[in-house]
Amino acid sequence: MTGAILHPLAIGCYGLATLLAVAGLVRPTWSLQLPVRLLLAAGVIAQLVQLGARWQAENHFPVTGLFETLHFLALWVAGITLYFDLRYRAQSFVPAGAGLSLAALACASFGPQKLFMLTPSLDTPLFFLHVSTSFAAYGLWSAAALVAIYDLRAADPDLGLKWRRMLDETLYLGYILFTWCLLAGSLWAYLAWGSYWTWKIKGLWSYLLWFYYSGVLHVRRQPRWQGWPTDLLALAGFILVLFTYLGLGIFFKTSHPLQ
Amino acid sequence: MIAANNTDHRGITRNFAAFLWRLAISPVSFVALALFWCLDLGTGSIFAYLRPDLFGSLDAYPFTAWLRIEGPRAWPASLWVHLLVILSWLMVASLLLCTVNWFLYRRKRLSGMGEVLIHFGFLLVFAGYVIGAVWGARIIGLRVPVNGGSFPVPALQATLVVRDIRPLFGPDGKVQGDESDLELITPAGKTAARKVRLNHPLIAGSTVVYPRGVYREERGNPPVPVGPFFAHYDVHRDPGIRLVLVGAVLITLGTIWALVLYLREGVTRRR
Repeated sequence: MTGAILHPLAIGCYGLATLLAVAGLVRPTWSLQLPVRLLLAAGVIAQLVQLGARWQAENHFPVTGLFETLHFLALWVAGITLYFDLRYRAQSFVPAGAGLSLAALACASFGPQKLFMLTPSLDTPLFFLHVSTSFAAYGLWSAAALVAIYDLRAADPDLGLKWRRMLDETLYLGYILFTWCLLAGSLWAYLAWGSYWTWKIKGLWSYLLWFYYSGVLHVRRQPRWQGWPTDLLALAGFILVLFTYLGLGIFFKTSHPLQ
Repeated sequence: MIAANNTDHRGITRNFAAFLWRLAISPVSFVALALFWCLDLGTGSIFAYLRPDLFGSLDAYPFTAWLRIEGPRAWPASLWVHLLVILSWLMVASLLLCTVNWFLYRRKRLSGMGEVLIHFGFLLVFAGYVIGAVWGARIIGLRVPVNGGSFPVPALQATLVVRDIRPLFGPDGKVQGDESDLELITPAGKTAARKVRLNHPLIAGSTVVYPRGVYREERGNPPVPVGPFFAHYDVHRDPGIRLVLVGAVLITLGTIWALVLYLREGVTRRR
């Protein structure tokens, strides 16, 4: 019942925030910064309330299946967008960030929104740690890809410096969180399946993703890799994230089914 | 003349060694190796998914046992696996030398220690994996009647004692799994006992007993369950697991340390 109200409410908030943010860029004299921030915050709060309600109903952290995982991803991207707007005054980033959250929630709407009750396979505290850090990292790396697009288009070097800081933050924090995701997931795999390293396709692509971003972190501070090379790496990484999260879950039979 | 040639020769050797050292510890080398590793694993994993007849048993063996037993049968399709092994060792070598380099030229401040802990932790995880891959063992599908008893595990020279098996019911009253009272007696005479269910295996040092459900044999077409119920267990021994756990702890500490310093750097920059 709560979801029937909060889900469209969050979509509405992000949609309106996107439209107003675009209008604010087209007409800078219109004071739309505050309404945009309030709408973003309202959307985030609506999603948090829905998350809490589903948590209570399902009796476990509600991030399983396509609807819930896209929901959580949208929440993270919207939260990061709000943080960038407040910390870096990156108003121009809001249409992209809010737009991505809107797209994620819209896609989630097409999936079944039924509640998933706790099953024995998810009955472990490692589930919360593994899943929360995983989608937080996906959200950060998605935001990194958007920031990379802005950095590629930035003509002013001072503006470029701001985008590069945001890019660095999202890449770095995403990597830290995904490391914790893999540690928790590997421990869980050891306790449930028999080994911390598994040759299942989902596990392999998760390690691949981690190694890829290990490489990105190694080069990001090298002088020759500043600017567009790191931007392209962030964009390529986002494609890997999409494949690992959605591609494998939808088109392959894996240990992490989305349907 | 000869003395000059010897000096030249030593100089060339020294220069070449210095070049190799710089190449080995360069982040770009690691990145290049990681890129090839990712490409190999990405394509190989999809290929393995499409050929379960060749690669479906990868998780049923310790890795070197798979290479020895199933690897020849899968050749040349398993080329990507062998390439992955080579690239992994090269990456680890690069990582090891980079870590040694940090310790040799460490500054007085502990800046960078977080990243070093992550590197060192990864090395320990890899070492533990190699030990488990070479000296580990896996017994898959140990079948035990549900009325219990003692059952030898010859490959591990251990004995599994099953005292009781009972179903677990969900809130809807349907069977959701099973719980067993198990005891494992190791070759050293030590015992470990606990209630075992999914996500809660019996751990006796490096030996772990995993529940795999309760089933009846199926016969006929279409298959129909017949006969008595049997509980299935997998028993794994991984002698490298302690090293892996220490490595994981170091990686965790390293990431926390690195994160704290990174956030502090951000706060300082804001001021």
